[in-house]
Amino acid sequence: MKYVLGIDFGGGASKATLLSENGTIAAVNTVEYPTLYPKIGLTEQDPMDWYYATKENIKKVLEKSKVSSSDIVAVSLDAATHTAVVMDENFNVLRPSIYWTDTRSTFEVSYLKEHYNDLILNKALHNVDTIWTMPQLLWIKNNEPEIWGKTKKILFAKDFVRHQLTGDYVTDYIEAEGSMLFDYNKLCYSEELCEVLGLDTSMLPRIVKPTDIAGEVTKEASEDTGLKEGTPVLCGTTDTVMEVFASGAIREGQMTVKLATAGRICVVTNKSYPNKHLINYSHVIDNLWYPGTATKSCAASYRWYRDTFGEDYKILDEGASKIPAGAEGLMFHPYLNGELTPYADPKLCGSFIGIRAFHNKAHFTRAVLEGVSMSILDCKKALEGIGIPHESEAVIIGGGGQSPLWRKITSDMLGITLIQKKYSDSSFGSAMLAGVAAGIWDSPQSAVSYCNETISKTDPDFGITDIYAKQYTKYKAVHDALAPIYDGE
Amino acid sequence: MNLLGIDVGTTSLKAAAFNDKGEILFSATIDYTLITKGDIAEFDAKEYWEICKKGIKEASNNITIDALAIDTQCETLILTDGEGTPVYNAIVWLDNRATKEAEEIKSFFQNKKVYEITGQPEVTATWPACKILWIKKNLPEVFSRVKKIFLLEDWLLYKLTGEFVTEKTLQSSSLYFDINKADWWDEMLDYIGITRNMLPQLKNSAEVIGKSGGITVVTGAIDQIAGAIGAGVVKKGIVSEMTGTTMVIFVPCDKVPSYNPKSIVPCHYNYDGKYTLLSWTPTAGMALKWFKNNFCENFSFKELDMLAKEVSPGSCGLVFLPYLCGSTMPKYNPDSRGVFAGLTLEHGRPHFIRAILESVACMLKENLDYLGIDAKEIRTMGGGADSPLWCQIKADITGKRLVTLKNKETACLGSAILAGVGIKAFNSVEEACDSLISTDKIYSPDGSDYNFIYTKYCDIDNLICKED
Repeated sequence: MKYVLGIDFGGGASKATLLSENGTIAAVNTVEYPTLYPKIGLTEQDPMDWYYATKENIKKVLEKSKVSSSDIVAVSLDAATHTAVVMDENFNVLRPSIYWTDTRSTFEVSYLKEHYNDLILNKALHNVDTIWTMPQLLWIKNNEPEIWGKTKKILFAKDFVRHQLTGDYVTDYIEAEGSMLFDYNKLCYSEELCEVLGLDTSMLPRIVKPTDIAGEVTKEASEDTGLKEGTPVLCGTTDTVMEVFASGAIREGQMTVKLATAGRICVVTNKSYPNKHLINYSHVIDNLWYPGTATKSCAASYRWYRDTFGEDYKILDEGASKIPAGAEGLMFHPYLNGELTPYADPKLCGSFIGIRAFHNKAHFTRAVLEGVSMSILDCKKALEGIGIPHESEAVIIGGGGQSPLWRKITSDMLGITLIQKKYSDSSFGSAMLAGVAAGIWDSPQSAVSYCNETISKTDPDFGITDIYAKQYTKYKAVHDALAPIYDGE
Repeated sequence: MNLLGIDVGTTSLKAAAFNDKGEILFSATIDYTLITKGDIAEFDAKEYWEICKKGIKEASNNITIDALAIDTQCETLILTDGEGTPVYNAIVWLDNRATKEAEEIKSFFQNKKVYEITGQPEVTATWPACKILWIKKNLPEVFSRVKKIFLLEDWLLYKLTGEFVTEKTLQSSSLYFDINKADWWDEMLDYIGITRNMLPQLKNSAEVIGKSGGITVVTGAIDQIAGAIGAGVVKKGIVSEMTGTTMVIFVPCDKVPSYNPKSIVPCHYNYDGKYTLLSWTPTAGMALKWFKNNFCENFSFKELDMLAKEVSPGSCGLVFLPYLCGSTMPKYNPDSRGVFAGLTLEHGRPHFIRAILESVACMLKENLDYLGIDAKEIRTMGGGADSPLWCQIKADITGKRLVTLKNKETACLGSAILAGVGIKAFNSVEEACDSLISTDKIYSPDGSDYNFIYTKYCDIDNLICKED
């Protein structure tokens, strides 16, 4: 029996999935690592922690599954995007990596917007923000000139880990798109954008396809991890595209609705849609894209609510399920940390509006779920406003999708059928991608149809969709009324 | 010298006796249940008298009483024949049967005129004039037997002394009393079909009217005014607020404010021949209780205080509008609703609690500013006065000194004070207050800056009232 291994690197943990050639999961394992918050607004990770987690994860899946390492025919990695590792010419790490949620580069963002906004939007298709690599590197240049002076090599998170395994020096084109240094038209690093940083493109890794074999496990890495020396490791790609792929969104018009810390809607398209409200990335399948919109505090809102007022999600869900749609006039706005789509306004705050004495805790719980789903509706409307065509059903992913009540509310809110897949996490996607590279499945499409399956379908009740549509008008009006008050702060 | 104050509320009578130092010697509470059905709320008039007698007897059994006065709920109507025998059950102030009559009176006189003469900004079924008109129209046979028209305090004074008298604070919400002239409003009497000789003789508060047993009986006041007297709201610059389920703000003034169609603040005739404004809001302590019941059921109010104390002034930007049952003053809107705004991930349960405490203080400031009264001190009563944190927040937000009282039965004490003044044990109500009232704690503004949160509160208030 042949096996393939996928490893994902997320906000606070790494997850490994070992998949067999008959499409069943042999073992999974998760290892946590710290995310560092040295000051308010700063978020960093230590690159070596990723590698320590990798060693641990591989040992554990081998142990759990009792699979022989010689049966593992390919390994693929994925990670959160635009996390740069700055190194000297000998690949020694010079400082911790700046994570995408880090907001230290606000000054650099303003500078770039003022001088290079059109250039960046035209070449990189992204709206300048602190989440991207380019302003973060500019911050290092401006604030840590010594480190910048020593910087000779730059890698992204999963590429750095893979470098430890194989010694290669490449990245994939989807990852490169997230650097804000990539020219979407010429499909290579943009000399002009690199020049803004005074960066020589030779400091950046060569760009390959996610399924290209980047290298083989070295002797040293073999001793570290238990993988067999010479095991092929493919380049791999970003966590979001692996999640989209894992959940089976592989055809033009297919949509994913993600209820995770942040919420996100992506649609698979046959072209990019340069627009400051969208994040555009290429799909792992040739010539496809998956532009998306996002709400900032999705499951984060529900987690905050649970942490503040107690009880577990199951009990909260049960209470909320007894309250009618619309929570009898109680409304929640989930802008607990500002909002992305459609306002891109970091100053917005959350609110509960329409409180009456008869409202109880279950009303508030329902209002939180509905409020977050209403921001997801905002995300869907933004995509439609740009004219991106989509099907009338979507795959639901992320932790929030595990809740039947939240699936129902979101389905009613969006007026679309939500399909839940057996697997939808990134490491599963990476494992399938490794299988494609190893020739187990002849295409990403066939890997998905072989390995994954639908486990539930949630159809909308259009009567309730109408109720929500009326409430949505008020939801917008409340935002419009309160935004100037928050702005004044 | 011992003085008895009797406070007759909607569902209970309280009697309390005080010595000349204001120390409480005796107190009793007698509960009773109204007859209610739909819009109807009645009580047997003779039963009111029995309960009152019982309260006086219990007090007299324990101590010697020199004088007594009674304060009652307003607007509870008792109609009798010429012999003083009731021809109908007492119609309690809550009774809502006379809505049509209220509409009729309103369209005939218009709100502006009614307010300018009586001080009442709205015509509702509560007012005795509307209730009388209802009897006249619906029970003409009963109406034809009516010779004497009492409100509750008058009725008890009559049963105690045989005198057919009333006092002016009580009549000021009858809707047939002119608060400017301190006399009956003839035009209204004509309209509802009654004459001056059916009404009791008008007295001031604190006038001796007779004896009952060995006790001198003195005119009292309505319960809100007696409560304010018992809290010492008798000098310039002192107002009161009571945070119970609702919040009632009591603000004495020299003149009847001019008519404002947006205001529903009634103006009453005060014990001293001047006036008083009674502003109120439907949700105050009730908001905290609601939050406790739903989100902190295992906590005591004291623990809620401790949690809220950890949070800095302004609740880190979290603002609450306490309109769980609509808003009244200064923005009258029965449809407005509660709001938590300015929420961020850093807010926890303590912030919510503090935001609720701060909102009630903002509402108090908003009302005081609206009434335009230059007060330096607020006497605070009700359950809210038991929270030191809440008192301090109210002091900081209003910028005024907040003072709590040792005696919580302020209405009974106020009546006792009127009784003492009536028998000339004191030269004036003010002097009696100085002798009999003990303040407890004083909370002075500590300089905490709430301007920002108050501005935000008002901004959101303006928006939300418009939004709904």
